[in-house]
Amino acid sequence: MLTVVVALSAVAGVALAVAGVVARGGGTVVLDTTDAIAATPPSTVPPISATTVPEPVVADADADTGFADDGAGGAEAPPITGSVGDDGPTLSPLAELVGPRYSAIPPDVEPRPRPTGVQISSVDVARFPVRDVGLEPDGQFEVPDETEIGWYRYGATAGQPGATVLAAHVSWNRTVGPFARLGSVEPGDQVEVALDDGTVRRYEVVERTTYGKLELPRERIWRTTGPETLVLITCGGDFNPDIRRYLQNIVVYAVPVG
Amino acid sequence: MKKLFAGAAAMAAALIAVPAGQSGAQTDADIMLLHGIPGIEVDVAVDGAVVVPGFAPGDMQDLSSFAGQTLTDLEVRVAGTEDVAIGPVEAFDVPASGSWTVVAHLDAEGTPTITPFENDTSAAGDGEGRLTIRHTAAAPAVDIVLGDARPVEGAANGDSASLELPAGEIAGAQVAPAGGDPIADVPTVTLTAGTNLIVYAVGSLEEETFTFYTQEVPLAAAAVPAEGSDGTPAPTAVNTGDELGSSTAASLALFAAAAGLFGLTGAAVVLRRRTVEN
Repeated sequence: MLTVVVALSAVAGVALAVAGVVARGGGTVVLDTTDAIAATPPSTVPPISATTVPEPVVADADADTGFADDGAGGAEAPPITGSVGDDGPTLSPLAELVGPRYSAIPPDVEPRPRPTGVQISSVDVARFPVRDVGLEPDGQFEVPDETEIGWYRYGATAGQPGATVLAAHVSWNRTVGPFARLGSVEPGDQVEVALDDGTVRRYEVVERTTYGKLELPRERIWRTTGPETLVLITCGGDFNPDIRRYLQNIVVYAVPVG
Repeated sequence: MKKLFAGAAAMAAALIAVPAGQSGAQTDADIMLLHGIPGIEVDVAVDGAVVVPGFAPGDMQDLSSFAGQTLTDLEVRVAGTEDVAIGPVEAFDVPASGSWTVVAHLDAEGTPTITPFENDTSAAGDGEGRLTIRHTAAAPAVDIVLGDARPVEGAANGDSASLELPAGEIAGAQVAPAGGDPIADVPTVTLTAGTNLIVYAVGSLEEETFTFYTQEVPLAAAAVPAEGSDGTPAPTAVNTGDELGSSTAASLALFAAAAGLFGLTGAAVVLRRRTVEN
């Protein structure tokens, strides 16, 4: 009980402090209940509870009515809130003003399967591991070095709605990159994506398009909603030696098959 | 019963410890009461009648419509009974503005206590959200572990840390005593663009009630997303090649910048390493 005493002391102390700065309502609730009352039919029905009700209330909670309410009286009594169970306490009209209740208990969510490898029928890329990547601090795509393919973790994953984006260098570190030959991939080519749950998702290439670096179609590529699409990206086109970058992106689109 | 009453005491304290709002003005406010003490269910009564019935651990009750108001004769009762555990509190002043989560929780030693947290609802970047981590558990200071990185270190009970991150799944995080080995998995969560996702560590390590609660608070309107966007973060560019034989200085600089950043940005770098090792 020591804890209770301490807590009560704290409560009293704070209450006094609050009372010192708050204009008080003489023991009444200073809250405007107009909306709540308007939302509930005016109750002229006297308390119909068979049990003792300590003081009049605006309307009887069904909790106290028990079996005594079988009849017209019970039918007329407007329920103040339907969410309270039969064993609930007498409710204040203020309960109508309380906002929704939510649960803070998070659902038990399994992490999404992640791509671990990709194979293209016409180009040998299967030896390059796939790892998840995000964004560089400056907002650019975090492209792995020439030994790996990057799966964009802020996009979709294979088998789920949206666009699953895999990107890799065409060239880097004086070496050809994993997607060096992406520009030769043609519609009809088959693509397989291996996932870390052991499954393999199959796709068929439907399009290859070259875009200016600033012209990637956001609504097609950066999305986690809409039709499932596999998007493979590398660089291509003209090379600008001043910034040592290509001016275009080669993008291959594939759709699920089978 | 001692524990139960102690918890009810904390709940009453929660209701009076909300920072006082500015007098008179009833402005926009978002006020949520979070029950963060496992094992205790209560009713909250005002002026003799229950206002919040059956308030269970993990419940959040939106009290925003009470913003700027004063409640009188506040009581906390053992749920479903007339037993007054705490109160009456003569007057309770509800804040009038801001976004607040008032959390009844255990302190580091396991004693029920109350911490009002103001939620940062300032706008994040396009495609980004804010991840907030709050230590409200009976546990010593902890680190958040993500792969080989510890984006949050030495967070003590009552601490709150926020990071702005691209929207997306956050999986594989763990909690460890500061400097120690991981002891619990943080649930997989999905950060939505334009929201503050708040993760609370609650309960007691000693009594094996340690767990996590989560809350989402919308942020102020960010920059209007690009046309056609569904909120998925979009890179500014995909630079997937240099000339054969060129210097890698630029990429090394980028990597160094990424590695030097505090927070989950650093963790992302480590996630990369971890995946490589797989």
